[in-house]
Amino acid sequence: MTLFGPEELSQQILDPGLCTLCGACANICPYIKAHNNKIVTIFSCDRTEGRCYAHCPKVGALLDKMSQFYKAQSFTENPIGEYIKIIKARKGVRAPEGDFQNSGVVSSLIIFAMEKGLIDAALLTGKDGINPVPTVVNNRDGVLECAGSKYIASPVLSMMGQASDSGIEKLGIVGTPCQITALSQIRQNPLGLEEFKNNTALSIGLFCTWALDGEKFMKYLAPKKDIESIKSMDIPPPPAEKLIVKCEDSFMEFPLNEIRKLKLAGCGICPDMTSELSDISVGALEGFNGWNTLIIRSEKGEQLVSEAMDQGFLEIGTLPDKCFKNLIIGAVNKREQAVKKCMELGMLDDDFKKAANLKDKQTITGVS
Amino acid sequence: MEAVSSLMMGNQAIVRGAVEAGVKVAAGYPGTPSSEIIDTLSKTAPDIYTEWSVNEKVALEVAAAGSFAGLRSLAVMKQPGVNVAADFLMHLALSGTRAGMVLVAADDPGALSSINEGDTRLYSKLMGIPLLEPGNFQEACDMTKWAFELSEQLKSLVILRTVTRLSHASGNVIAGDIKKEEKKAYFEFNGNMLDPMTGIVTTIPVSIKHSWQHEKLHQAGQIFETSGFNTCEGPENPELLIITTSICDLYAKEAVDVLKLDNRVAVLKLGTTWPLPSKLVQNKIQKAGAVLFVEEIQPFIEENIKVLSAGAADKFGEKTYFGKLSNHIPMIGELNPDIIIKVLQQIFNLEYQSSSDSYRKVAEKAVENCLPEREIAFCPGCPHRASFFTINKVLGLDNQDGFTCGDIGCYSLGILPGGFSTIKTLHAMGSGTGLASGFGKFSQFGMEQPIISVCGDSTFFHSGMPPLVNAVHNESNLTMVILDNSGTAMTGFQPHPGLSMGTDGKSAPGVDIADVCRAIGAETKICDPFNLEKTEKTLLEFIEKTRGVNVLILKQICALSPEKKGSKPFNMSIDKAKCIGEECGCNRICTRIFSCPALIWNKEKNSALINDILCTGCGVCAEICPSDAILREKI
Amino acid sequence: MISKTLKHDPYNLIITGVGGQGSVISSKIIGNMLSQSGFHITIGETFGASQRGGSVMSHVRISSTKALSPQIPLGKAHMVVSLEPVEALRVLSQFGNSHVKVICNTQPLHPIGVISGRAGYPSKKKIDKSLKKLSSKVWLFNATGIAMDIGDPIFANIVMTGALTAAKKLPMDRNNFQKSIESLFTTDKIKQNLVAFDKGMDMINF
Repeated sequence: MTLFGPEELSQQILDPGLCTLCGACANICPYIKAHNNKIVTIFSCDRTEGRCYAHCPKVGALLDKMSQFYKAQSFTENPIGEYIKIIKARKGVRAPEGDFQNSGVVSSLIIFAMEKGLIDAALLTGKDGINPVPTVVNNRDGVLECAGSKYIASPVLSMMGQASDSGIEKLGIVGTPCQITALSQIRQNPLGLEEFKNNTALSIGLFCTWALDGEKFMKYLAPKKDIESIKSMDIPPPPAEKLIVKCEDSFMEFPLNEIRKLKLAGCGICPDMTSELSDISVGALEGFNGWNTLIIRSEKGEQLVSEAMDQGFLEIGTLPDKCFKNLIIGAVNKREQAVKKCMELGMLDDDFKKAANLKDKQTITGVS
Repeated sequence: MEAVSSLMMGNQAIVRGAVEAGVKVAAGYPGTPSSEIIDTLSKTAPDIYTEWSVNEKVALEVAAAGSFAGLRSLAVMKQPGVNVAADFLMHLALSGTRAGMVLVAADDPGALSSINEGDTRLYSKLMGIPLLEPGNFQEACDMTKWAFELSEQLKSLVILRTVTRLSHASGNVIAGDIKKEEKKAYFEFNGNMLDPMTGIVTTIPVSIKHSWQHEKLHQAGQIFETSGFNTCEGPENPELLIITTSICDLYAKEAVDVLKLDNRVAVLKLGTTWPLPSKLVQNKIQKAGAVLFVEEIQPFIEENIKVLSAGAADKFGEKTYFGKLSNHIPMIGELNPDIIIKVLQQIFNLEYQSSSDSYRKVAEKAVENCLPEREIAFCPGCPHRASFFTINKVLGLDNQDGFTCGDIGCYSLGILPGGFSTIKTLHAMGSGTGLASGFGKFSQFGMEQPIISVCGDSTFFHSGMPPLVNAVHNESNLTMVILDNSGTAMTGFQPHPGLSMGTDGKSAPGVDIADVCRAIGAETKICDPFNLEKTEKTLLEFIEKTRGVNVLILKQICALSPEKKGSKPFNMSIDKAKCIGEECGCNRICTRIFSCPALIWNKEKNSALINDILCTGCGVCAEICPSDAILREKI
Repeated sequence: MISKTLKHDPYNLIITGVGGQGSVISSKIIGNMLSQSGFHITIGETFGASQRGGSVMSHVRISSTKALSPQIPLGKAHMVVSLEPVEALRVLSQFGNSHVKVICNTQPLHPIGVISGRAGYPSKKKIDKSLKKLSSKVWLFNATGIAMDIGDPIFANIVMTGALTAAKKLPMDRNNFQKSIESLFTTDKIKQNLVAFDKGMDMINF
């Protein structure tokens, strides 16, 4: 892919509102920050090539090319990506209890990986009320505090630099497809930096169809509910078609078709539903309460799952055919819609990759 | 015995003149190029009551009180200060004065240290106040002394207008004797209501006072006809008569000298420019072939002499006039000998080159691309750099197109790249917060941009309080950032009411800015701008609040202040292992953006470098570096 | 009474540097040194930006007869004393002529544009060459280095004042200097200033 800098990132992704807030561009960079559910720029940067652009999962993220590089084989038409095994799973008896969305598989795997020494710490998404907060944890309690779906996009990867500065050498990361895509790009060291150190030891990807635009969602909620009082949110599996907002002693329901209007525009160009570049991907399993779908993609992932089973942290079963078929249908839909949207936006044209009509280089904020 | 001359700055000469005249009260507000006058008086003349007032209007009022109480008094300000004082000035012109009172107004042609090019002389005409313009250093002294006598004679305020090139230039002055006189201050008010010396002092009845004012002006005009401050040099019947005033006299004479035109050109220098000595001027014009007006800023003498000439057309017919109105003299900027040389060359059709063609060619080639511009920037260790860095960062994080209304002080540099181009409006003192108060009311028209105003500590007292009161009372939404560096730093650390030190350097009750803001009703917090993290957090909280008036006081003493200069809290150094230059991805934020003169980008070594000579060890750059490559070691 | 004569009347001296280097003070000291001998001195200067990294220029005009314009006409400098190499070039490009003499500190002070990497700064070689081309005589030495040896870079302006005195183009001497700083500094500082002055003289008289 052609590498550009912050100006092109702004032009192609940030300004048109296509950012899904993975946080990769805001990692380390003193000019790009993740703040209040937004990626913002402070001061101007005139680099013509930068990590911000190179790591963005929305630009030049040509999946096949990346896949070729990363997995040394070409990208197939499989809409759920390469995998070794696909199964259903739930937390094992030895894994701790927690306030899980589904079966607690993700928490169990992270806790297990941590306790067996595969990772020193994990970069997860915690929360402050309903606001997602990227969090680095290194013990059971920390992991359990981060359990549960967040629905609002969170700039998880913006914390990577901080995590490695604090001396973490083996980091586990749980992320959505865009975050896992960005993570893969980070791990490729696309700028060929000498001092680059890959400290990602495990990546667990989540299934995702879209995430909420935090800013829009808060504006929607504000007149209806005191946001401070909200404890958690839940979107129950189909056919519920609603979002439930839970407070201390009450709850409110919102129709999902209204909530969908508040999703991030950038989710519309994302072709990946199942985090295709992770070690292990985890998602819901329709019709089987208390179970998750688990896609094992790498040998490392396979070994972790097998050991977790042996040690009682994980329980697995065969994924029913119907579920597999539904999963494929969902993934194909997401990919088709994304390709359509990308074409509409001209993002698949060759021209898009060239930096069009760049303004005169800025040297200092606000001055050409 | 020969009189001893000494080298004096124009402003010092004015001080000398005032002291010789026996001035007893002097008040002013700091402003380049006027500040040295009160500074010098406060340091050298303990028997004079000297005051740095809260603003120019109050300074003029304090000085007027002196005159009313029978004490010779002096008010000093730069030209924009006259605008601040203008309301009282007009009333004072009408009410008249008692003991001699002089307003020294320092204009700044070319805006060398200002953000406008105002011309005080128009106030003289507008308000009917006699006007004197010294043309050299000796005159700065003698004319000031005389101004007090004139004022006393006319019972009118007299304006003495100086300019930067006179106030800040130095020349030889032969000092005169100092008038030593014990004066008891007493305000008489029990006399006849219309007695200017014993009655009440006011502008009413206006019809009577206004007619008196015209009589005074007429009388002044008579006196000016024979004043020694109006001089004429050159042939009796010159081909060209240059009529000039102020420092331009020296430029004009230099130009005449350089072009060797002293047999063809006469220079009439007017020291008394309002009202004009009409007979003198008409006589000189009558004998001249043509006239060239040489003056700075407004075509003041040019227009008014043309009016006089129109009235005397029957006497000497039509003359050719050159000046600003004929596009010979520029309307804007400062003059200099070279500009006048060029005009004379044009009028007389003369050849003149400032240096040989060959030298100029060599010079042009030698300096091509070799003269990097010296943008002015905040000093090393300046708290404003840190403050603006944070304001800029916070507005960026907030990402709602918030902006900053600027104000007058060193921090006006916030409008330049060195201040991260943070300031988006810049006008008069106090106007930043006034504008912010307006902007902060426009949510009903859909305006959601967060509004910040910046205001210095001295500016806060000068004119920052009324707009803050306005904002609170009218429920505007804004954050006023008071950049408190403990003094009027730009003009040389004059004290202000916020400090526990008076004009004389002795202790004085300080008025606490935070207490004032809280009393006005603004939510007020204080941070150290060198603590970037806390400042950022506090300011973010303020601007993310959608309603209300907040004040954030960023308190840190100016790096050049006498009490701080030379002290170095931290030893700064670069961790060469961590600073990996262009490889880092930081894109040199420390040098490219932060722009501290003591932090240099070493291209060859691809690394940042501390200039130990300049570094004040404020330690802020250590917080800017995203790779922790700038080390801070406590001394 | 003026007992000394000037090589040119008026003699036009320009002292230049960067805000904060003390060129304003040295122009005053030099003015006072010459004023002692009865000359009419006019010093024109621009401050305001003086502490903020801007270019600063003092025009010192020495005449046996009268006060002069505080701005020297273009191309009419007789001597340029510069505390910063690029500033010397800047002044010469406006006020220089083939007879002008230059005393220049070789220690560069980089403008913000250069510090931040936006603008370039000419090499020492190029500066030296240009200074030689644009003057009839140049004295170059590191006055800042000498000042640092004395204990503070701020003495560079006094080093330059010493050098100017030793160049003997103006009727002034060490006694004039001593007399003119008496009222300006404390006893301690006077000592250091005299050391700086002497070291500056040595730079010309070696």
